Amino acid sequence: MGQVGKRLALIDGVEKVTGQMRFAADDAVAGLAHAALLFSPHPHARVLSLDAGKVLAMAGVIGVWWHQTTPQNGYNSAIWLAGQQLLADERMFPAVVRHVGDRVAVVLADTEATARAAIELLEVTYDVLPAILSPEGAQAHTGPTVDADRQPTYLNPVAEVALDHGDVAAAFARASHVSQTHVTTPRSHHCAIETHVCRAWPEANDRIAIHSPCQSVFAVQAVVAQALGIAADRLHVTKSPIGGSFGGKAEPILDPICAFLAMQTGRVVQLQLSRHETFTATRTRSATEGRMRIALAADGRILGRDVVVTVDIGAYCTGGAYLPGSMLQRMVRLYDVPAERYRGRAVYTNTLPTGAFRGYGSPQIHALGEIALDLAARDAGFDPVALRLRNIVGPGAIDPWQGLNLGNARGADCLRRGAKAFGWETRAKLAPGTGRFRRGVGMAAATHINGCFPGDDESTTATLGLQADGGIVLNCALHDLGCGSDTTLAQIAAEVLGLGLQNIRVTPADTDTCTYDLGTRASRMTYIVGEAVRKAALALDQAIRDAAALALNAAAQDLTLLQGCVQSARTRISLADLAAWLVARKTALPSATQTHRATANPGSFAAHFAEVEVDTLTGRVQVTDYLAAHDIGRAINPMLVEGQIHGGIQIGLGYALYEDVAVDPGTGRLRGDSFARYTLANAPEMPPIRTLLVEEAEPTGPFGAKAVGEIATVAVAPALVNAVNAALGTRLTDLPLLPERIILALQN
Amino acid sequence: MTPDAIPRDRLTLWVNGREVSVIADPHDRLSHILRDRLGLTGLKEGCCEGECGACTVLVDDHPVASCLMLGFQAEGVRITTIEGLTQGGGLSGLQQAFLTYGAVQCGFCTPGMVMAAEGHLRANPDGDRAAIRHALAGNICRCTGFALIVDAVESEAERRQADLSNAMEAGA
Amino acid sequence: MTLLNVCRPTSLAELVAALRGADPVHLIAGGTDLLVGSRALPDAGRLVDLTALPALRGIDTTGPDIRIGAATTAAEIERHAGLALRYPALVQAAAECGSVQIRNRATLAGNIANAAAAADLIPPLLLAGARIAGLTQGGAECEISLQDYQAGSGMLITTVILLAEGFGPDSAFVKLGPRRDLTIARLNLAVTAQVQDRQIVEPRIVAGALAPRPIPLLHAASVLGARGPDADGLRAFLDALSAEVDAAIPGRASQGWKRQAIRGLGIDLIARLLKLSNRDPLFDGVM
Repeated sequence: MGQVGKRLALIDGVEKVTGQMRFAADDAVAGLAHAALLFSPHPHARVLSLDAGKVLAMAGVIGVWWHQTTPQNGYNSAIWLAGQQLLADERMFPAVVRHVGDRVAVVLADTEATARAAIELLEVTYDVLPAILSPEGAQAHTGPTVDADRQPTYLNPVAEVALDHGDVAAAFARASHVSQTHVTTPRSHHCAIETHVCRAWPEANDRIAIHSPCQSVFAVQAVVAQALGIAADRLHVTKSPIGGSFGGKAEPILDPICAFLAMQTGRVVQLQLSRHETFTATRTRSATEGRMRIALAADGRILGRDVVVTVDIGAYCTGGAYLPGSMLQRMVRLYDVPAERYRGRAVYTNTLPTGAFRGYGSPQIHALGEIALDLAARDAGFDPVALRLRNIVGPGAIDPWQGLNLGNARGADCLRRGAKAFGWETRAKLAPGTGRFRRGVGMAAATHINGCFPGDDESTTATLGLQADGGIVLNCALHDLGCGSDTTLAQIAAEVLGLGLQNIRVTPADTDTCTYDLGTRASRMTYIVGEAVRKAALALDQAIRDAAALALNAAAQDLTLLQGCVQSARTRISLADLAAWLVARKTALPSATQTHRATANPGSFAAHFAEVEVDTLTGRVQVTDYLAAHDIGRAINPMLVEGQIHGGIQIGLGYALYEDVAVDPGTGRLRGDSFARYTLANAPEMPPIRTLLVEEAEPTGPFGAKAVGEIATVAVAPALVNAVNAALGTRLTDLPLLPERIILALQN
Repeated sequence: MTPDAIPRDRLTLWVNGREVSVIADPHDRLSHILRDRLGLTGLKEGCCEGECGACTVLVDDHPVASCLMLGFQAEGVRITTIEGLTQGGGLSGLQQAFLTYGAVQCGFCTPGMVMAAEGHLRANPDGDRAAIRHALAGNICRCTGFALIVDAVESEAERRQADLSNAMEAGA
Repeated sequence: MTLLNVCRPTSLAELVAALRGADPVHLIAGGTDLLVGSRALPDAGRLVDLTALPALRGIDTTGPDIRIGAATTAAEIERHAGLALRYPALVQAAAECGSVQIRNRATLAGNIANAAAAADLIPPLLLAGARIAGLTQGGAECEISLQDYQAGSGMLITTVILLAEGFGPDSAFVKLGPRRDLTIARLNLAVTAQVQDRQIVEPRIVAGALAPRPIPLLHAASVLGARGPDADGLRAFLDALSAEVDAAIPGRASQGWKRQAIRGLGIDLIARLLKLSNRDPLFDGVM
C-alpha cells in the first residue's frame, strides 16, 4: 500500500481542526470541584502556621489542606518505575518551602473562581531562611544530600559524573591549537499552550482514577503511589489528549494533589494552573555553565577535550541527578575524540525545579560544544564545516563512555549535503558588511539518542487485533504529545497490513489495559515503539492470513493483505466479512502481541545552517535563512518529520535569542513569568526554513527509521550563536543573545 | 465577599448564528461563558491575558481575544467560534488546509489560529504571505514553527480567490 | 454590603446617570488592560461599559476639528483613510499596538487612561497637541490638553480632539521591542516636521518608554532641525538622542543599551519620515 514515506494528515487531525478534541479540562462533569494552590512568595522558608478561618467560612469551599494535613511521604516526580532509586526529596506540601512558587496549601471549592478567591484569604506565617540563588553559591553549600537516616539534607552536589578517556594531558601537550570557551545557557520554559491540568475521581473498589495530559501513565501511577503511600494498583491512570508538553508535562506535578483530594472528598477534582503558575511552579530546562578546552592538531583533528559543567537543577532533585550523565552521553557521541576528560555536577539552588525539556541536556551540551568548536575553528583558521567533517563519527562508531555502537551514523552526510544545499562555501566567505546591518552565516552539528537503551529495560509491547467491524485496533501504552506519533505508528501498522490509515484505530495509554511502557520521552516513539508495532503487525498479518485460509479454503502462504482484503490470485474476502465469518463461527478474532526489546541505541544526527542579520545599533538579531539537514534513517511521514524540525527551530531560536525565565538573583522571583514578559518567536519572527532529510536506513529501526523529535531543536541555538559571532566578529557565549549583550560585546 | 454573593445576570448572546440566553456573573469573561456555559470547548484558554491567541473568536467578523472581553460586553454582537465554522457538517476549506499542510500538531492552539486566519481572510482575501504572518502574530504555536500554518492559510486564500473568479466567470 | 452591578449605557444621558450613582464606579472599555491575567476585578460597585455608546465611537473628520470617540479602537484608527492622510504617525502607532485581536478591542481612551510608559498612541497624540473632552467626576463637561491630563484624576474621556489640518504627510512613528512584530515597546519615537526637499524643518519628537510618561525630546529635535539630514547632521542628531537617554535614565540598568539602541531607532524614524528605507545610502555615513 505504500503507507510509509507518505505525507498523511494526522489521524486525529479532524478532531483538532474542528475543536472537537476533548482535552483534559474540556469534558463537562456535574459536580466538578476545582482546586487552587497557594504558592510560596519566599525562596526558602519554614511554613509556621496557616489560618484558614476566613476561607472555611466561605460558601462553596470544600476544604483546605497544607503540610500538616497531607501525607508527608518523600517522593521524586521524575521516576517512571515503582521502586526507582532516585532521591525522594519532594513533598506534596513541604514544611520548608524551597523556592518561590513552592506549594504551601490547596483549597478545594465548587468553582475555580471561589477556590482562587479563597487562596487570597489564607493567612500564612513564614520563618524566612537564607536562600541560595546562584550555582556559584551552591558550590559552597556542600555536604551529603542524604543523611544517615536517608533523609534529604539539601546539600550539594546532588550528582557528579566523571569520564577520563585516553590521555588528555598528552593530547593538549601535542596540540597545535588550544582554545578554551565558557558558555552559559539560560533556564527556558516549555510554553505548551495548554497549561498544566489534571483531573481525578474515585472509582469502584476503593480506587482513584486520574486523567492527565502526561508523557507516561505508568510514571504518574508510580509517582502518585509514592507520594500518597498507597499501592499503585489503587490508581487507574489514563492519558488525555495533551496541548503540548516538550517535557514540561513529563513529571506529574499536580497529579498527587489531585488524586489526594479526590480520595479525601469523593469528588471529581480538577486542578489547573494559570499561565503565570505554569511559568513559576512547574519546571524549566536547567541552566548550565560549562567550560570546554579543545586541543586541535594542525590537520584539524580534535586530539582531546577537557570539559567542566555545572547544572543548576533548582530546588528539588527530580531527574536533575541524571543530567550530568545525559550531557556526557550526548557529548561523546558526535565526534571521534581520542582523549576526553569530563566533570559534570548538578547542584541545588532555591529556584524552580528543572526537568526534561526537548533534548534533556542535549541543547545545553551542544551549545557548549558547538560554540566552543566554532571559536576554536576561527582561532585556528579552519572552516567550521570542514573541521566537523574531519572529526564527526561515522557508521559503526563506538562511543567511549557506554561502549555503544552508534549505528548507521550519517552526520557526515548531513554536513556535506546540508552545506551544499545551503551554499555554505560561498556564503561563509562573504564579508559581513561594515554598515549598520551585518550578515553572517553559522552552523552546528548535533546528535541525539534513540530511546533509553541500555539505561532501562528499553522495551515495549504492542497488540494489534482485528475487530468485529473489520477495523484494526492498536493497543500499546501510547502517549502522542502532538507530534503525530499515533499517526506514525498507525502508518507502520497499515504498511505491514496492506491497509489505509483510516483502518487503524489507536487507543491512548491506560494503566488498566496497557502493558508497561516507559512513555514518550528520550526520542523513543518511532524507533522503539514503532518497531514493536511493526513486529506485532507482521504477526497479525500471519494470524489474519491463517484465519482467512479457512474462510477462503486457501493456503495461508498464498494469501496477502491488500486494500482491506485478504486475497489470493483467485479469491478474496474483506476484513469485515472475515471478522463476521469468524464471529459467526464463534472463533476468536485474530490478534497479535509482540514485545520489542531494544538491543541498540543508534544516534540521530543533524547539521543546521543559519544566516542572520544583526542590527549593530539596536542589537536585534533577525534570522534570515535556515536549513536543517537531518539523518532520519527513513521518514515514515515526511510531513510530520518536517513539522518536528520546524517546531524544533522555533524553540531553539528562542533559546538562542530571547527565552529566559530569568531568576532574579536578589529575590528568587522569575522575571519572565508571562507571555508578555517571556518572549517567544511568533510567526513574523521565523525565517524561511528548508529541510533536507538524509534517509540511509538504520538497520535496527522500523523500516530504517530513527528519531527526530528532540534532535530537531538541539543544533539551533549554537548555529545561530555561531552565525551572530561570524557576523560581528564577537565571541558571544552567554545565551540568550539579548540585544543588551550584543551591544555590550560590540562596545568592548 | 464571596463570588456567590455577586448578583447573576441573564445575558443574550448571538453565537454561531443562534441567539442564546445564559446566566453569568458580571466578572465572567466571554471565553469562560462560551466554554463553561455554552459548552463550546473548541475554544481554548492559554493565558487569560490576550497574549497567546488560543481563545480567539470572531466578533462581527473581527478576531478578538475572548478572554479580554466580559460577557455582558458581548451582547448585541455576532460571535463566531470554531464550532461555527463547521455548521452543516464537513470541514471548512481553511480547516481542510490546516490538515493537508501539516499545520496542526498538538491541536491546542489550532482553533484560535484557525479563527484568527479566518478573520484575516474575510477582511484580506488576497493572501499576501507577509500580511498573513502579521495577522497571526498574536497566536502562539509552540509545535509547528508557523511556516506550515502560513502555507495552509495562503493556500486557502488562493482557493477562495479561484472560487471567486470562477463564480464571477459563471455569473458573466 | 455593596455588590457589583454592570451597566452598558447607550447614550451620554445614561452614562451621566450611571456615573452619578452612590456606588463606586469602575469603567471598562476594550478590557485589554483591565482584564489581563489574574488582576483582581472590582467586586463591588458599578462596572460601566463604555463600548456600547455610539457617541463614544467613531472618527469624525468633517468638522472644524477631528473628533475621535474615546472608545474608538486601535483597529478603527489604523484603517481610517482620513486620519492616515493627516496623522500618519498616529495611524502607524495604532497599526503596531498589539496583535490584531488586541487592536480590535483596545480603545484610544484606554491607551490614554491606562497611561503606560510604553503606550504607543500617546507620543503621536502629544505631538498632535491633542485635546481631550470628557466629564468630571461630578458629571460636568470639561476639555483639557492631553499634556495636562492626569491618569487617575477621575475624568472620563469622551472625545479626543485633533486639529483638522493635521501633521500633513510628514510624521512618523517607530518602536523597538524584543520582536519585530507584536512587541511591547522598550522604546518608541514619534516625529512630525515639514519636509521640503529632504530638509526637515521644525521637527518635534516625543519618546515613549524613557520616562514614566512619554517625553518631548527638545534637544534632539532642535539638533535635527538645525543640522539637516546629511551624514554629519544625522550623526549629531543621533548623538543628541543618546544624550537624551543619558539625561532621562542616568544610572538605570537599561541606559547603556538604550543610549545605543535609540540611534538605530532614530535612523528608522528619519527613514520613515522621509519615506526611505533605513538602508538608504543616506544613512551609510552615519555609523
